[in-house]
Amino acid sequence: MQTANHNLSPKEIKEYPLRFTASGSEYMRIWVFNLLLIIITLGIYYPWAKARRIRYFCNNTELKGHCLDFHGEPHKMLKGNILAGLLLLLCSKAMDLSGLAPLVAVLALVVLAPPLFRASMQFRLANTSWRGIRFHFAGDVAGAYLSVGVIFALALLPFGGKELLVMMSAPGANIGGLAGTVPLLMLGIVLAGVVLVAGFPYLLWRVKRYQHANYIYGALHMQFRCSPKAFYKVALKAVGLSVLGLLVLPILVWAGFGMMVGSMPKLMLVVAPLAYLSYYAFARSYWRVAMQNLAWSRTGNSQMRFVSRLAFGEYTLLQLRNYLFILCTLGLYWPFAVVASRRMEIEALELRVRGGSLETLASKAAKVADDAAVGDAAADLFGLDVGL
Amino acid sequence: MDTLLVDYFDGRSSTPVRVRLSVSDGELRVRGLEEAAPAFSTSLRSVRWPEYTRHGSRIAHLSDGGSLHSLDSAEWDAFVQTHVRRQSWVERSQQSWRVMLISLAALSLLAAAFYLWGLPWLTRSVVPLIPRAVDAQIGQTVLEQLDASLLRPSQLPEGQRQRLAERFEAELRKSAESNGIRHQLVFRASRIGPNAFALPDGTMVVTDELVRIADNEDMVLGVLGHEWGHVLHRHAMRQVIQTGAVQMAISAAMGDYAGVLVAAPVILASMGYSRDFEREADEESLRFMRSAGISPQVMVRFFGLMQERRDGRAGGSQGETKQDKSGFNIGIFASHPDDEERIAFFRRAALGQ
Repeated sequence: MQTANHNLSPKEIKEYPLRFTASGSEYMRIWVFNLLLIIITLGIYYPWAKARRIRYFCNNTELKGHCLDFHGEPHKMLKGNILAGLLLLLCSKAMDLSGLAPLVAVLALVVLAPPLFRASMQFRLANTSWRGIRFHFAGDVAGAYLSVGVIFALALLPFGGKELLVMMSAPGANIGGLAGTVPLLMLGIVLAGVVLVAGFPYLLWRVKRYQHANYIYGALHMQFRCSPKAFYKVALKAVGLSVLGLLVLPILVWAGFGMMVGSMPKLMLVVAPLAYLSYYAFARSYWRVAMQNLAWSRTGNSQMRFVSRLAFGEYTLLQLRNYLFILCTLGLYWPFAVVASRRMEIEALELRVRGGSLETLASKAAKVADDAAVGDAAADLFGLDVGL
Repeated sequence: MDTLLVDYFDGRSSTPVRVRLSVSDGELRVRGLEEAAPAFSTSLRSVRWPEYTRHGSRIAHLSDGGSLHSLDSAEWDAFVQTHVRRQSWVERSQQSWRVMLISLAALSLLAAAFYLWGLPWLTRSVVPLIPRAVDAQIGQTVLEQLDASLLRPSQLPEGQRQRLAERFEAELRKSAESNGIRHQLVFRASRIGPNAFALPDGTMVVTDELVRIADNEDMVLGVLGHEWGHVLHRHAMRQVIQTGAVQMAISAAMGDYAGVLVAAPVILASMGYSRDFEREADEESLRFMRSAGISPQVMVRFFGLMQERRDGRAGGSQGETKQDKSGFNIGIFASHPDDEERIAFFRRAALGQ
C-alpha cells in the first residue's frame, strides 16, 4: 500500500523473499524421538521439545542469507507450562459445577487471558532474533484487554452466567433482591451473542492490529494499515464456503440412505468425516490463506512492508494431500505435512524495502527485559496464534 | 579444518562482519579479516553451540550477546567436531533412522499398553472419586429428547409393568451394592423395536416390544440385569473419560491437524471401550440372574429370538450372525461384541451351573 503522493520508480523498491529450508524427513526423526522422551518423562520434557522445534523452524527460515534464531530457555518455559496448565484445568473443572463457580472461572479467564496473551507475544518475539538483533513486542496491557479481553468476555460470560441465572430464576429465589433483573440479564446474554457473531470480523481486526502494529525489530516499528471492512469481506466469503461445504452433507445423507436401516450413528461414521473434510479443506484453507495475505500485506511502515501471496488453490490442494496421507499413514506423515505447509506459508512472504536496501535500515538494538515464559505456555494451551 | 570463516554479529548492529575462528587452550579466538575489524577471545565453554541438524543455519551464541553464523555448514560441522565437541547422544539419535524406528516401535507399544490397560485402569481408579451425581450431567436431557421423538408412552398392561418393576426391584435389593444408587425403571413403546438401554443418571428404559418378544419375565430380567450393569459400573462416565483422554492424546501429538483426524481414532477407541463395557454388563447380568435364580439359558434364547427377528425382517438369509444387517456393526466397528461371543458366554455359564 503506497501513500498517494509518493512518486516512486519501480527500481527504488527492493524485494527480499523468504526461504524455508526445513526437511520433513529430518523433522520426523526429531519429532518421534522427542515424543518418546516426552512420554517417558510423563510430559516434563515438553518445553525442551518445544524449544527445539521452534529453533529448528527458525533456523530454517532465511531472509537475505541469514536465518532467524530462537533463544527461549526451556526450564523457564516449564514453569509457564505448569502454571497455564493448572489454570486451564481449574477453569474447566469449575465450568462443570453449578452456582457461582462457572462465573468465577469465566471471570478469572477474562481477567487473566489478555495479559497472558500479551506475555506470550512478548516472550516469543523477545526470544526471536535475526542477524543478532532481537524482535520486540510493544503492545500494552490496556490494548490486550481491549482486543483479546473483549472477545473472551463476549464469548465466555454467557456460559459463566448461565448457572447463576438458573439459580436466580428458580421459583422463590431472590438473591440480593435482584430477582427482577433476570429478564434483563437474559437479554444481555442474547445481545452478547449477537454482538460476538456480527462483530467478530471487527473484533478479530482489533486483535490483529494489536499484534501487527506492535511488532518491532531493533528500532523499526511496524504499522497495520488495514480496515475492518477487509476483514468482513474475508469473513463473509469464509462463511459462504462453509455453508457450501455443509450443503454437501444432505446430498451424502441422501446417497447413503440405501446403506443403512435406522442406524443414524453408523451413518454419521461415514458422513461426518466427509463433511468435516469438506469444511476443513475448503473453508478453513480459505480462511488461513486470506488471513495471512490480508494481515501481512498490510504490515509495514514508510520504509518497508511485507507482501503475502499465498495461493488458495495450491494451499488447499496441499492440505487435502496432507490429510489424506496422514490418514493413510495413521499419523506418521504429520511432520512432512507440517513442514510442507509451513514452507508454502513462509515462502509466500516477501519483504519490500523502499529507498534503500535491507542493510541500510536502522538497526539499533532495543534493550528488552527478559519476560517471564509464562506467556508462551498459555499461548500453547489457548491455541492463540502468535505471529508468523 | 583449523580455522573457520563465519559471520559475526555483535548483537547491537545487524551488519555482519566476516571473522575467522580458531581454538587453542580452551579459548575461542575471533579475528576479523580487516584491520579495524573486531578481535577478541572468549572461553570456549562460555559459547553456546547449536544442536546439530542437517538443514538450517548454525548459530552459536556468545556470552556478551553476540552470535556467530555459519557460512558453510559442512565446514562448520567439521570444525566443531574437531575442536569443540562431539555430537551428543541426543543429536545422534535425532539424525538416526534406526533410533526413529525403535522410538516408533516403543511409542506404539506404550500407546497400545496405555489404551488397553493403562487408561481403563486409571479411569477405574479415578471414577470412584467422582460423585455419582456428576454422571447424571452427561446427557441430562436424553430421555426428554427421546420421549419427544422415538419413544411413546408404554402400551403394556399396568399390572404387567408393576410386576416386572417390583420383581426387578426385589432382586436388586438382594445385593448390598445397589443401595444408595439412584435407579428407576421405565417402560416405553417405540418403533425402534425390542430394546433396552440405561442412562447415566440410573434410568433404565425397556421397550414394550422387548417385553412382548420375550418368552417370559425371566428373560426380561436378564436383559435388565445387563442394563443395571451399565449403571452400577458407571460405564457412561468411564466412556466419556476414556474417549476424552484418547482425544487429548492425539490432539497433543498433532496440533493443527488434530481436528479432523481425531475423529476416526476416537470413534474406534470408543467402540473398543464400548465392547469392554458390554462384556462387563453381560457379566453383571449373569450375576443378577444367578442371584434371582434364573438360568442363563434365557439369554441364549433371547439372542436367538433377536436373530430370528432380524432374519425374518431381512428376508431370510440365515446363519450370518457375524454381520449386522445395518452394515456397520462389524469387527472393529462393532460397539457390541459379536452375538456369537455373547451367546457362547451365557451358554457356558448355563452349562457350568
